[in-house]
Amino acid sequence: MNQILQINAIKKSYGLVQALNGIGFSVPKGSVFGVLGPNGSGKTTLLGILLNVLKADEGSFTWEGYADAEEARKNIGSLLETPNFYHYLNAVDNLNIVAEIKGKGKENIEDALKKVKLFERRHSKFNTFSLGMKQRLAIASSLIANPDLLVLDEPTNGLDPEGIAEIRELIIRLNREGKTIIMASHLLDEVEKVCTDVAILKKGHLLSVGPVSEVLSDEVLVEVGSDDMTALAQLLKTNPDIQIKSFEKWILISLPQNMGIGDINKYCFENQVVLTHLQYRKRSLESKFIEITQ
Amino acid sequence: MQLLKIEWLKIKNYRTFWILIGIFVSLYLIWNYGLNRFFVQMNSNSINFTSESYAFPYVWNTMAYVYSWFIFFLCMFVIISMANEYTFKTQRQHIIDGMHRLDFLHAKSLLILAISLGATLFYTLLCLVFGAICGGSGVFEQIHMVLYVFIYTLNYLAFSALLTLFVKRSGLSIIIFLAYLMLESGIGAFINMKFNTQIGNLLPLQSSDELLPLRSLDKIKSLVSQGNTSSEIPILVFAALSVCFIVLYYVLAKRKILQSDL
Repeated sequence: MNQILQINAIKKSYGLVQALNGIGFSVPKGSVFGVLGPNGSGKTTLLGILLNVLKADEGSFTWEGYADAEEARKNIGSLLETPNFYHYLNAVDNLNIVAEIKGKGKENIEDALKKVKLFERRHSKFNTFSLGMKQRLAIASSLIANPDLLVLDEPTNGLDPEGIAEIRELIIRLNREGKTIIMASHLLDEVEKVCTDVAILKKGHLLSVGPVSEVLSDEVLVEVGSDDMTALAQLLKTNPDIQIKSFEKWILISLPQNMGIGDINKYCFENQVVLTHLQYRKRSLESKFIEITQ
Repeated sequence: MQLLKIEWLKIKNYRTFWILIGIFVSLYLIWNYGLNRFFVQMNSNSINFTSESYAFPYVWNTMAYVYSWFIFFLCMFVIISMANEYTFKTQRQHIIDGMHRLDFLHAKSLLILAISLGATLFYTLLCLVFGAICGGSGVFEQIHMVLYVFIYTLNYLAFSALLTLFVKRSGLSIIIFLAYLMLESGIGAFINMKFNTQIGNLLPLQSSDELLPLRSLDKIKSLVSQGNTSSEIPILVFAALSVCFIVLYYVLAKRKILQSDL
């Protein structure tokens, strides 16, 4: 597959804390690539290394298609951790500086400000902005080079629900325009809604990487209940295709692909157990995520 | 040039910058004007040794000495400008946006160079104006003072920048800068007294202070301590040493910027 970024066995420690422990994967061109992990899993450290503000102890990475790392960064729109701007300058002045560093003209500034709905406030000083507006300005700043690749570290951080939805839409729209987006997030829900591919990090280890549909695939979970729960449990245990997940008020089972909810009803009835409760339960991704990271 | 433009975009709408430059310019102007009036008046009372202070060629020395009183305002601006990059994390953002780490150092170096050149130019112009008013002869006899003022400024500003690179906070940097100034002149004076030499004047900032001495005081000194000039260090040594210190600051800053996590 056509790659835009290749990461090889990157290690980084802060004193005794091993922040990254030999992370390596590649990012396909045209994907929305999520780096998913709980707080402190090393997401920001990894992005910091890719953007050259942190130095890796070991390992390497290459941005495909750029002459050198500086050239790559000039053509990547990035947002790392907090929005970093001069507090005493207004939005336009701040973006002028970014455009100058990236060696791009100012022609995209207006457009970028409109995209993140900050155009009306473009002459306000940065220190008068709310947290959400600062975050929007940082996203605008990542757009002014009209980059083919965006690296966004928790882009919806600090935004209200409406803002979150807008930014997610923006990301999807940019991806449709052909841009590759690498985004870090601790929100599984966000990754599921926005990303095509995902790498899951935990305590500096890479747990899983691949297309979202594979990594975060859902099994079919069904709640069953009967007047005689013990008999039901025993019956279910005898069938090797059925996996019992938990036994609380109801018994939670996971079914193989070829078995539906009707099959389980039939199977129980034929074995003299009458079901009084039978319900699909879509497994929450949250619990899947917790399971992967535990 | 592009790097300097980036620095210019940062300060052109920055009130603190204009206030500090304004303070420097107006204080320097007012003090020289006041001193000049004072000397003229003393002169009319026929006290003689200061009479030529603002006439050519001595105006170069006098105004250079007065210059050294106000350098602090320029240092303060350099400290604030450097500390801002850390407070706002914009130095980090610059790298993220594709600036090479060395270019960050070079942008700041160019800014310091530009301020030094500007301040030196201002000094030169004022010297010419005051000299022209007060007369005298040998206009360019002490013209090397222009170079010394430039080196002096560069040394002080580059030192401030380096200090801030390590301290990272403007308030703390200003306090440490002032404390260091006092400490250095204290240590220098102590060494000079203890060993009866001038070696104490070879410390980083003092070496540049030596470039801008008070000439009229020198006259009195040499009257008092006739013949005791054996350990005079030639002024060119101080000039060369100052340049060496400036290069050293650059090397240290480069190491710091290239190696550290931001």
